[in-house]
Amino acid sequence: MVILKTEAVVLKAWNLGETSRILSVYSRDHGKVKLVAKGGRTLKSKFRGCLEPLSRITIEYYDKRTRDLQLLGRSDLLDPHMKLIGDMRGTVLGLAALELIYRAVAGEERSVEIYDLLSETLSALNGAGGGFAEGIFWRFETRFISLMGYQPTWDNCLSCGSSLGKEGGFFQASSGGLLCASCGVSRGGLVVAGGTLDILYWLQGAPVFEAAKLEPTDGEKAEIRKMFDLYFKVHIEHIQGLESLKFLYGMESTNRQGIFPASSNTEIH
Amino acid sequence: MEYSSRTLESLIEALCGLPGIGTKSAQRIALHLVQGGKNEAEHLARSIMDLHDKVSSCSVCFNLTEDDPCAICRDPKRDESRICVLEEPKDLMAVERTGIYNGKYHVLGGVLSPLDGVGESHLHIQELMKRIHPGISEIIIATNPTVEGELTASYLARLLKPMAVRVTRIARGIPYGGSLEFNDMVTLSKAMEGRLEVDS
Ligand SMILES: [Zn+2]
Ligand SMILES: [Zn+2]
Repeated sequence: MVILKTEAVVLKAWNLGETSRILSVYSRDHGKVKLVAKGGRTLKSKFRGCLEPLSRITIEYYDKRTRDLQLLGRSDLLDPHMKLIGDMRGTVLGLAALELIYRAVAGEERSVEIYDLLSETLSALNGAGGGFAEGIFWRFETRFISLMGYQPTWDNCLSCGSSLGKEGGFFQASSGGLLCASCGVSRGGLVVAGGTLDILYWLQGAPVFEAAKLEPTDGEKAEIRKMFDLYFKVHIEHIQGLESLKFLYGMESTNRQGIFPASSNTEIH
Repeated sequence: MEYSSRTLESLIEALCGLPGIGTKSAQRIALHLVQGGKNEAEHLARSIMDLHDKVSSCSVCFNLTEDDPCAICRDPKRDESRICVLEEPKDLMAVERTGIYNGKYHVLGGVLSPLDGVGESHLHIQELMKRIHPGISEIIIATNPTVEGELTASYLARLLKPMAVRVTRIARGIPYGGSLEFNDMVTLSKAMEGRLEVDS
């Protein structure tokens, strides 16, 4: 049995028995780990504040390869991303990033790049204020897809290689790219406008805080949402749409007396 | 087979499924019941059966009750203009124990949980909205101070905003990530006293 120390983000947490809590975390050095925090819900717990999703923490645990559940020995809170409290959209987008990693990454896969991407995404969502927080989430999605080994091509036609200009193209989820107007005419696919492709291309290289400055049209927004949805359905098993995003879209469509505006960036604080 | 009796074994198994009871405790309870008087066992069995026959949710506040509406909803001495919104009946019991609150309650039956697909329709949110009328002066949101508890609080504040009712959130005397039921009376009393406006 070895004691492992690393940094992690809490993906999901469940109560266990009367006082304990089980955590699924994505750690910087050991990928996805399932931990039990004994007595973690009591007032005197040494884990206080470390056991909530979205928190970035340090963990120290006794690694027993044969066990699926590791015993958490020590944990300190690095960043609870406090500004997300009261920011519904930011919270739900953060949860969607956690959900994607929780469902798409197998336990043994580890990647410092995925960890850093998640960590910077949560920091940026926490600091997005009145910006377009979904841009930060789109950037996360496009980079996550690349890190999972399905580098998408947003700028050239998959078939003839011609550059996709203002006229856009036909999105092919299975091959991870687009066909130009002439190649796509016979083979079909999701019709995507040029402006949408510009956004996706730009996001691949954009610094994380810049992503919140995007001002997409409603059409571009709908196309990007649809593209990622199709992409995950084809490439990542068991992902038939993220529950967190369904929640977000439901919140928008409810739109009772403008309670949850779909296009505005305003949030409650 | 570890036990000499299949009946005993099945009881131990059933007891093990209860919260906070391990194999050793289950064994102790089962042996106590079999070796003790028949009356005690019968009394326990009847109480358990009565639970399902007699105890159900109050159709107004969703607290557990034998009479519908529950005693709190029917009590004329309680302040009808305030409603305290909670996740579970156990949270209601914890607030009641402090004796500091004299208003009415509303139990949601959980919290919004985007990752698990738990949305508004899974909770008693619409029923809460239907309880709002001009005589209501304050809605106190007392969900747990967790990510999902805070999300639910913000969501309710948004829904309630057009209804021109004062919405407050219990103060954070309670540790982040904690549960209401594990707070001592003083902490919980302070949290109720120090509640703040929820901006929307
Ligand atoms: Zn082409
Ligand atoms: Zn009642």
